[in-house]
Amino acid sequence: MNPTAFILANAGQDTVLPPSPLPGQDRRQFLRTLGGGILVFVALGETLAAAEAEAPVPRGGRPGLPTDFNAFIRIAEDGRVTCLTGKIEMGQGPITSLAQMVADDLDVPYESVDMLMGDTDLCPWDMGTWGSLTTRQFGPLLRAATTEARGVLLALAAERLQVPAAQLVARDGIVFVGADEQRRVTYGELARGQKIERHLTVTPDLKAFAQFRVAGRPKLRRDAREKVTGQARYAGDFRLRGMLYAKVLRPPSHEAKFKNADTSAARATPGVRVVEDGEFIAVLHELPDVAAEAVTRIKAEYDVPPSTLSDENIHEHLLRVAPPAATVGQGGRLEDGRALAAHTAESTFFDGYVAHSPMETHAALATIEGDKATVWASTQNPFGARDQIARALGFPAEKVRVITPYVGGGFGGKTSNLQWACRCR
Amino acid sequence: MPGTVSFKLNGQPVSLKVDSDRKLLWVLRTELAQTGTKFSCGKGICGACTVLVNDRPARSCMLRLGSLQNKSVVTIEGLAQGGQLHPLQKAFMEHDALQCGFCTSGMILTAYGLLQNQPRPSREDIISGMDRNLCRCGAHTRIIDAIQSAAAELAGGTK
Repeated sequence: MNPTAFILANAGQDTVLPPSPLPGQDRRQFLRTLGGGILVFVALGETLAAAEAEAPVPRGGRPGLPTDFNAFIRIAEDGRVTCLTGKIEMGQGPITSLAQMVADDLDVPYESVDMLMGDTDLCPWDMGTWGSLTTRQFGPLLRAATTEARGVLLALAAERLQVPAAQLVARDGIVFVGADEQRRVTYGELARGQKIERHLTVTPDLKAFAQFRVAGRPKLRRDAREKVTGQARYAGDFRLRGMLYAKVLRPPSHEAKFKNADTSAARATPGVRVVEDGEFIAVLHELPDVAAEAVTRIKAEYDVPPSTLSDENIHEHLLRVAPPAATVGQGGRLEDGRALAAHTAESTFFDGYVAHSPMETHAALATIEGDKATVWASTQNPFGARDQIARALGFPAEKVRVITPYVGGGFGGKTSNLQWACRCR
Repeated sequence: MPGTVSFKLNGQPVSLKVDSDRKLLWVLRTELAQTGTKFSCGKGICGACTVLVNDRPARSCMLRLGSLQNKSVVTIEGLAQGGQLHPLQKAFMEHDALQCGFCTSGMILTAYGLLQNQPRPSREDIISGMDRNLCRCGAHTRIIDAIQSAAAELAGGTK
């Protein structure tokens, strides 16, 4: 790894790293060099359109489908299946539940499905993981893609076995001739020697719920063993050779105006480097705790306007500064409901000010090699992070790769990625 | 203070020539590459950084390295023995007692200490014993179930 690699992390964390696989390749090249096998690209056909039409419209509008690159499913020559998705795992369980869907729709053992999540070089574009939309909105899209993959495999099997596809049955990654189960071929055999990127024009029907054997039934979390043994990696657990941890100076309160800072005491700590760009000041050191300690030695002055807020006026204040209300969804007729109501009640409800406060602090690790940046980020929105980082660095988006390890909670607070853009300054 | 600090980490002797004022959490995560111990609040409040020191739970973000001279430290990586998960680890898996997993190391090691004091805790005992470990996801009731189940296994009863 390049010795100029550096880390930028909030309070710093770390470990010994896995280097990024095949750095410098673009994602199509990467997938092509994965070896043989079958990559199924989703045709933007009626199934997908229907699936998307049924999904709820997310706040901020419908994101649309990835059109340039949308291989959600890869079948390898050893029969293993990889589901590639821009969704991320932060405890809500898609590493398990999406694999269950794939197993059912592809007719493969659940254990043969690997999940590759949140890597912007390898996974199809995704709007981000939030709003409880992974199962409801992304699920139907993944199911359609997987069903297309099964169609490809059945078509290949029909050629191989010299039988019309309609006479074939798939089970546990093996295609049988229905009338003669001795005549069979495995998915792995079908994928062997293939370099197929295939689009289907006819999509098989999605399975009905009653046909599910894996989905809809309880499973232990796939990530449970890693998480009870301390092996699960989060963004702050990666460590690159020669990297530095950065700790950023924060203003003491809302609306504090930066005046000046004396960083000489921080700079006096051996091994410390200070990056100053106006009010943005970061202290870097090869040890996270030393960086954190050194940042406390910066003597920064701010104009801090006295707060006029109290328990009495906080709700009024929050109402005043809140963004304008917007209609998220609309349906039915309110007048009809009013006319039918036997009782009406009106009330005003107050809630406390709520912070996301995930257990994992915001953290990211960045390395720049040549003209390519790779960032391991604790984010709910890897593709959004990629674009923001690219803007902050002045790089084209394809020269930024965001990899999302396990995320230690997000609750919406890791959706907008301001911190990554900040880190990359 | 520079100097050499020697202790056992997960059964193995360790001698480190580092500033003995550094906190154990960061030494584990950097010098010793043991990242199962998590940083969260950094103030000894949340419990995510809990390790065992001489078999008792302790918050590694608050522990000076120098205080560990000749002591024994066990992290989540050292709890399984000979490839066999500890009953608490198995119970956390089986009861789905984790989500994002960031609090899990500290939860399990705090529960380890709880069961030493109270081998057959009631639900109320568990709730008060685990009160200083924070989970932000919502695994709380399953954590209680897991600890009760592990207690039963450790006590030799059926789960």
